[in-house]
Amino acid sequence: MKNPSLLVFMNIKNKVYYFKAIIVVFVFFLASCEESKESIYTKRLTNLIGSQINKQMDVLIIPNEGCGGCISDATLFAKQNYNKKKIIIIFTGVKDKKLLKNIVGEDFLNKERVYVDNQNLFNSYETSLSYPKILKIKRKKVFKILDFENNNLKDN
Amino acid sequence: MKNTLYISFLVLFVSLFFACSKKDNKKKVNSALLEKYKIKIPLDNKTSFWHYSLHISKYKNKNILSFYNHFDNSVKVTEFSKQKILKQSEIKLHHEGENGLGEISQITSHLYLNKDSIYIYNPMSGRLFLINEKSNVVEKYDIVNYDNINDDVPYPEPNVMSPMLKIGNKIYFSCGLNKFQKRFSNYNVILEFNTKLRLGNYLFPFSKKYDNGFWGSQFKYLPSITYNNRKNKVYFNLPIDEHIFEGDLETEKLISIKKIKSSYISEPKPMFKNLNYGLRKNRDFNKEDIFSLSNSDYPSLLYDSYRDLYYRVVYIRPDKTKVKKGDTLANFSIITLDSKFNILSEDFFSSKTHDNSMIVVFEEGLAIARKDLYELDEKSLTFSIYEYKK
Repeated sequence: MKNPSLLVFMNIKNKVYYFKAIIVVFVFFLASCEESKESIYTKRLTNLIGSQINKQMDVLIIPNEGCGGCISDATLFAKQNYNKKKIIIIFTGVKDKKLLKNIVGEDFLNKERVYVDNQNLFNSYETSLSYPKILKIKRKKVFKILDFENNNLKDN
Repeated sequence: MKNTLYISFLVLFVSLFFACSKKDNKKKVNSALLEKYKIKIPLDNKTSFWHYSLHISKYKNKNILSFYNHFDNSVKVTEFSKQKILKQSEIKLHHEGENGLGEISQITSHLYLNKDSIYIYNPMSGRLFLINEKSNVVEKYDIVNYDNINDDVPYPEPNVMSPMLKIGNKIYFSCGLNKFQKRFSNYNVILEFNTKLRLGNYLFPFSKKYDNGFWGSQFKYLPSITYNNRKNKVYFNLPIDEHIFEGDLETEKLISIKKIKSSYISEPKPMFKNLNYGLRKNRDFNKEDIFSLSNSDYPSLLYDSYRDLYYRVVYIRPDKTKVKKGDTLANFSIITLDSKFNILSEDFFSSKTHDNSMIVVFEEGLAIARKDLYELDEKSLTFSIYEYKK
């Protein structure tokens, strides 16, 4: 017959073991539930530009509000380099389209690779957009999110 | 045992039901601000809808609507009478030269009194300019000395909802925080600038409620003032305080007049009960923004000298989930008050149709800009004119 006190001890030990195992599983579960920023961006990009996503490309997102100087620089860059670099340009958080047309020109807004994010998919705290961002796409998915800098964009 | 289980589930179910039910933000108390008519202001190609500084004044029996248009750096002026546009003009502002105002930002504010007296406050330089309709600088005043970085004075931030006020030789500015304070109830936030003596004096501190916690982003600390010319008193409004305060310009004393509560929002609560959070170096500004944009407040109080009424503007902000997704636009209500601050009515407005920051008082009533009509016609800026009716 087994020692009763040993049985009690074994029971407690098993309980502690199972409790710890549950905690570990729970933590992994929570971690897997939190969606990555890259995943959020990929979904929204697909929603906005759909079939235009290439296997490998860059996307420049320019918010309407935030760092004024950064936004102006990014906007100027987009206009000057539209033909040189095959990037997608997305204007988000646009409250007044007339003002945007005045700033960039209506012709520019009508170009094939220029979008206005009317649904404000990229203008949320989940995407944390107060600075222009560059999305790096590989295999049709966003794999890197960078702050806008000329060096971060691919050449043709 | 079964009964206990049954009662427990019932209690849980009922609690969940009430926790999940949303407040009806669209209920109306008394609807008494009635639309009289609309006025359509023609816009040129370079002028869009929203303006940080917008003003309606009266000069030689004509109403004059003016606003600063940042895109082409000009003040647009429209003379009108009722719904009829009489004349439109623009005052082109200069950056450099004899009549230069320096680098001008979008948050430049102005005060149009008449064609010979237009004040322009340039927050980039901290200078106030008096110009005429030909854009000639008549006077310039140094309001803020940005060179003195040790100065712990608040910076002027006049805007549509709390414009510059000219009373005699003095101009009054609402000010925003320069540095976060250890104590707010002794920190004066209205700048009184004497244009004759060229001297500034700070009046009227935050209320004691501000010492009771950290209230969020900068705009929770931006007061608004309005002037009652019949009583020669200013009235002071703070975003997170339900009280209205009366300021005596002679004695510089501020007293609490009344608690004016909205029926659409509950009492504003701080983000943290500890005021000292605001002094930390590693603040989470993202979190502060989300909190501030999802907690309702009172941004402005306006006095209507033509009808001896007050209007308190209430921002009914969206919940946290919506704000996180980028939906930060607040609906609003306007509480109409009589001369003794009794509530006469409270009217709800949707921000999908009416702009919550372009609200001005003039002879005909309360003018609120219509964004829905601008979306249909970008060549016009339309205002709905409201008047209180019993």
